[in-house]
Amino acid sequence: MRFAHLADCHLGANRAAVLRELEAKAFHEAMRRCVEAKVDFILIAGDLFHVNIPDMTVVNGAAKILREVADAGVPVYVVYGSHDFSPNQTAIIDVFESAGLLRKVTRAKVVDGKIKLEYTVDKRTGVKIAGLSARKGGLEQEYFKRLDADATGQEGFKIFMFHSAISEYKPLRLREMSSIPLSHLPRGYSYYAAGHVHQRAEIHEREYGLIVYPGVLFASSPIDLEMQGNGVKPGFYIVDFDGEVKNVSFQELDLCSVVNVEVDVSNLNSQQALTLVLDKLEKLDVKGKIVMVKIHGKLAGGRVSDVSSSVIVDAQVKRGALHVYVNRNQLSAVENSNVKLGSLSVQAVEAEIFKLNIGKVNISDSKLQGEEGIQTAQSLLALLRQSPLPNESKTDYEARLKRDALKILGVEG
Amino acid sequence: MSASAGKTVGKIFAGDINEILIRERRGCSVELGALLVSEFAGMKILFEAVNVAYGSIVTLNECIDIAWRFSEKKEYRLHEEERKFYNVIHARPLAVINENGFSKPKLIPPMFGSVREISDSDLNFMMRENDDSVAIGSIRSGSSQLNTPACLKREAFTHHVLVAAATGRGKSNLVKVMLWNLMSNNKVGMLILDPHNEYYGVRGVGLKDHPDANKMLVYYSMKNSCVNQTLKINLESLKPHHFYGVIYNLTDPQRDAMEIYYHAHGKKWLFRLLADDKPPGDNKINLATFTALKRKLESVLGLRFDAAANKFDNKLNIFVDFGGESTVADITSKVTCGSKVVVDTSDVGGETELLIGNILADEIFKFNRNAKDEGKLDSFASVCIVLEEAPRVLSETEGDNAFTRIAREGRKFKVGLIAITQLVSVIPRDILANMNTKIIMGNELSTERRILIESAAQDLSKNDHIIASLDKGELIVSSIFTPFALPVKVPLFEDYIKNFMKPKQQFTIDVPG
Repeated sequence: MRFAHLADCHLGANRAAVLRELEAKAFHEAMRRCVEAKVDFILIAGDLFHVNIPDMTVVNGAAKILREVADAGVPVYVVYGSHDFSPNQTAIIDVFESAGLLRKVTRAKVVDGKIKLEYTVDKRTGVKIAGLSARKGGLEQEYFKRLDADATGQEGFKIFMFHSAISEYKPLRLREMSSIPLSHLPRGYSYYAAGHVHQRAEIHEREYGLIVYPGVLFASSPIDLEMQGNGVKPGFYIVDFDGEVKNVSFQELDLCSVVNVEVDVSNLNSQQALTLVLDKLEKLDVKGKIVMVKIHGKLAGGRVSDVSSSVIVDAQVKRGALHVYVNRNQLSAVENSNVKLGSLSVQAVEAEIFKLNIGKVNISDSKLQGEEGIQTAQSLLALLRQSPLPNESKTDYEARLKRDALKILGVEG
Repeated sequence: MSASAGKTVGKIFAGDINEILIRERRGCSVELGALLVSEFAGMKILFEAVNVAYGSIVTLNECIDIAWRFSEKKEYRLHEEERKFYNVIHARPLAVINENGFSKPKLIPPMFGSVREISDSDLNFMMRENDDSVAIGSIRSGSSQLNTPACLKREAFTHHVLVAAATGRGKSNLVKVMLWNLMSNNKVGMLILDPHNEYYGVRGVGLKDHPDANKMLVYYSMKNSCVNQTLKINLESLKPHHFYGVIYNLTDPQRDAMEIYYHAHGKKWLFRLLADDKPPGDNKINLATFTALKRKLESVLGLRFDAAANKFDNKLNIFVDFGGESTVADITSKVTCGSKVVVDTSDVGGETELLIGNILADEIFKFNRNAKDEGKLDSFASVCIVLEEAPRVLSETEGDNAFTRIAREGRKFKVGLIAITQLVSVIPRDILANMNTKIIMGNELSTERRILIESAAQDLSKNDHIIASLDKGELIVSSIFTPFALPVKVPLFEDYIKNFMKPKQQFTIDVPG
């Protein structure tokens, strides 16, 4: 007998059309492979959708795929994830359940303050499935504390589905993520179908069966894409069992390549930084790929915004990149220095400020650079200080200022 | 409190600024360590009975003769027995009690002034339990317990606390009471290294029964029960210096070998060292050194690499190559935010336990030091690490480790130790000097008492036999944060917590979707 285990599809997470298309394609491909592999049922351990009521296009696409799976006679069992959860069961998951496209396995009752889970039994295989939904912000931890769902000694193949990180197995980069201790998982299940952590893991622990995180099906954030650029493939599991787990096989979904590019632009000015980034990208084959560009360092001059994301993105798209993401979170610029005034005159103070900051202006006209630039700026400032002449109308005043300003800038009016 | 509190016990008849002599009233029976008060001219001076002796107005030879007569003659009676024969209480001044609190005594009460037993109203200005102070028991007068709580300032915990006692004097009980009273205080985080698994309350009552345990207490253990987090530490969390000062007899060549591997392999240094069957071929590491080092590491980590299976055979399942990546960061985060983390190390050997403690202490110290550098230290709780059998890591023989660094520098970074020991004599003097609060429990060894007395924050030179006579649960707190050496009685933990435990609430919860 066989089943598939997916999690964290996050349908609707991506805004960019190309990524949304890949997201839907990943889900479609996964379902297609499940049907092709003749799985007896499919488990989706939370976050099928990125929000509890997604965009209707996303809903429609998912509904069509799940309809095909249902028509092929393959039941789909789910739990809420932290994203597609609804406190009063009015999420799209519930609509899909009403339509017979999937089934939540989270039936439970409260007895003496303890949560006793009730099994959903798969008709074809007799497998007993119990699950606990996630809530936002890891609030399901309270449910786990009150869980009374030990299955030790019970007959048959049993699956526990949940959508939480396990404290003892959280990756270091996710150390801030709320999680449940391993000891809060109920014992005695043959397989633990997990979700929430976007990193694949097969955990063997004494007193528990196999605990599996399949990771994401595609990507719901730039971090997921970066991990793919580092060689971590998204996908899902197909599990063969017969009384106990016989084989777990990870099915990679390699829908497109992701390239990570990291550029250190420390001590360059913004113009030089942009040039370096573009040059580095020029050496790579980006055609048909998702390009993740990370720019970091402290600029010697210019602004962070001058290392223009749109210029970078446009250049790579022109070269055939599927999608480009530019991360400048670790990029910073030199702050404006404080000017020590002492007993300088106003003009001297102005000159000092111009002198300190003229290097940060990204301009190619030599008249506006260096000493000449400082003088030009001071002249303009002096002009703008001029009050209207006696009997000079507002229109004449503005016209005069404009004419003189253009003269200072050496531009024909 | 004793029924005789406030009762006059005698009259002063001799003495000086260091000690007064009191003729005890008949029938009073003042105990060693009793707190006494002399009131005069609107002032109160607090005394402590440091000795009780016989006194008489007849000579010693006459007393011997009288004793013989009593023993040999059936109907011998003394003439003016009450006038001639009495007890003398030797009392040391502790403090002057005034409206504003306490001050050092600089004068003596009048000759023939009355001395009475202390009462709770005399101690109205004692520190009360609040966010800035922690109750550790009640003020004690002799063997009687007053109602006034004995409190330690919160600050004392980052200035280090030494708990010194012979075996069976109630150290664990004291620490449990202290931890219980600290539980709700989110300005002090605690890391409790528990080699006897006695603090959480896995079997019986413990910290888990505190009303705030749910939000303030975390329990790590190797065992997998439904109440704990499983203690797992990823090998990549370990650095060579974590082993220094906690692994017995680590030689210099062995340390060098660890550094060479760390330099070559970064975070994977330990994995590589354990997986290699011989040192790298560049001759930097001698084969004998490598073999001995690897054996030591395998023993302390409980790991052996099975080359055929290409995985570790893991006896302890604490140090792992998969999982446990965020354990150290998690524990650090919790304690620096005021939580209390108990780490059960009862199932591992001494060196493994110390290694675990050293890793955690090192991370906490580093975290606070970085926070101070960034000007953020005040945003975090003070941290106190409870360390049993402290000489294992604080003695001179093993060299520096995170605990000795904390003992010497931790104060600056709001990290302190509660070091528990039977043997103060093996703790280096400079570390002892940094422990600004000494909780002294009964100790029969005069050498140990002498070291405690010499390093105390107050003059305890006359307290040697008081310390020797301390019963289980009785202690003296000598601290730079107390106005005088406080005599304290610690209640039995199981009885103490009955006042605090609430009946278990019935929770109503919605069935999760």
